[in-house]
Formats: sequence, structure tokens, C-alpha cells
Amino acid sequence: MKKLFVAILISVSVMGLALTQMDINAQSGLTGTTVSLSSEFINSSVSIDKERAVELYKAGQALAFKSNGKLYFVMNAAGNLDTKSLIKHAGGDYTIGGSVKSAKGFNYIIANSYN
Amino acid sequence: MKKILLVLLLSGLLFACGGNEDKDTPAEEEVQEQVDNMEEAADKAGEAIEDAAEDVAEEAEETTEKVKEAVTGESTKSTNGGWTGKVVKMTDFLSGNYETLSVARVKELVMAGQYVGFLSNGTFYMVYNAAGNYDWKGLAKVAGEESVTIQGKVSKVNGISIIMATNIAS
Repeated sequence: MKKLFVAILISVSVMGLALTQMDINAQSGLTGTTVSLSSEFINSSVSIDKERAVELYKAGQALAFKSNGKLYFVMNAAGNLDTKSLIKHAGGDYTIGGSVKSAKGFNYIIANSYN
Repeated sequence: MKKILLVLLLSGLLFACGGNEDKDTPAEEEVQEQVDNMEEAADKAGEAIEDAAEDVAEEAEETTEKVKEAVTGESTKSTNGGWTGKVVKMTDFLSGNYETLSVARVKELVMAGQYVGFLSNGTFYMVYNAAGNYDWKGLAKVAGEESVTIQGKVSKVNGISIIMATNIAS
């Protein structure tokens, strides 16, 4: 029974790992908000306004986009993190259009529009 | 297996108790021997129960941790020996083309909203200090070094691997 349980756990872990390593391309819009990564990591998930986003940016603190409870790094077409757009739209919900990917343990969006 | 052992031990204990009834007039030494045997059997049974309980508790803890990680994407473990790797730019980790970094370059990148992290055994970690702030300054100091060791607590939050660093050294 114990061996069966361990075998099931290993199988689930392997399947999960395979899925997280898979690139998921989806042309879609995701609605969410700009968040501070530090706050997310200490579970004090709070939406930040533009002023706070600028303050964090100047201090070199990381920002990300949160949609449906998931954290995304946002990149532009050139492959650089698009932190300035996250700051510009901070303080409320907005929609990012583009390609949503999941690779190497990261969820990220290659953005082509912000609404 | 442990359950079988437990059942055998308990059976032995009952058998030992039953054996006492056959003696009409047991000598004092025999009584003492039987009492000792019973105590020994009881001790063994107690130890087996404790071991089984510890195993179950450990398995439950491991399973809870795995389920928590699967459901929330969160997990935590500490390291004393530290993690060895190097400082890399986050987007380089995704593209696979690594730029050689320096203290000045890391500062330039972070001030432009580009993040650096720590690459160890194929995993990219965002590094935070004890105060909970992104520790790009700590990474900048060792940027460009081929072998960097970071000690601290490793966590996975929402799919992102992070190290709450207590020490960063090259």
C-alpha cells in the first residue's frame, strides 16, 4: 500500500514536472494588476499604485503582473522585461495582450498591447 | 510490515499473560521472570507503536508538503551548506544566451527594470535578503564570479524559486 502510494506520488510529480517544462503558447489577453514581488513572497498580496510602483522601481525592487492568482513576468517583443509598462498601468486592473508562455519554471507574457 | 510486527508482539504479550494461569504454585523467581518478560514485551510493543506513529507522521508531513506545493506552488527548505552557482540576467536564463555581468552592469540592468538572479543546478532563483527585499546589491557584488555560494532558505512561491539569503560569497 505504501509502495503504491509512493509510486502514485512519483508519477504525479513527474507529470507535473513535464507540464511545467512545456512551452504553452496562447494568444490571449490577461486581466490583472501590477504587484510587488517582495509582497507576493511574504504573502502580503496588495495591489500597488503608480507612485509606489515608481518608488519600488527606483529602489531596484522587482515588479510583476498578477492575473487570476498567477504571477507573470512581462516582456516586450525585444525580449526585455517591460517594467515601465507595469509601472504605467499600476493602480488598477488592466489587460495585457500577447503571447503567454510557461517555460523553465516561469510564467511570462510577451506583450504586444496594454488596455 | 510494522503492523504485523505489532500484532505479533501483542500476541506474545497475551500469550505470556495466559501462560501464568497454568502454574498452580509458581516459584517467586518464575513469577519475577514472567513479569520481566511481560514488561519487555510491553516495552517492545510501545517502541513499535512509537516508531509506526513517527513514520506515519513523517509521511503525512511529506505528503502535505507535496500537496501544498502542487496546489499553491509553495514550498520551503533550508540549506546549511549553501547553493553554488552564478549570477545571471533573468531574460538570459530564458533565452539561454548568457551575458557576462559585472557590478556596474548589474546596477545598470536593475535600474532599467531588468532583473538578475542566481542560477544553480539549472534553476533560476530570485534572491532576497532577510528584510524581504530583492537583494540585487548582494548579487552585484559577486557578479562575474564563476562560482558563487549562497546560504539561506529556498522557497517556491507561485512557481518562482526564491532564496532568502543569509550569506552570499564567491
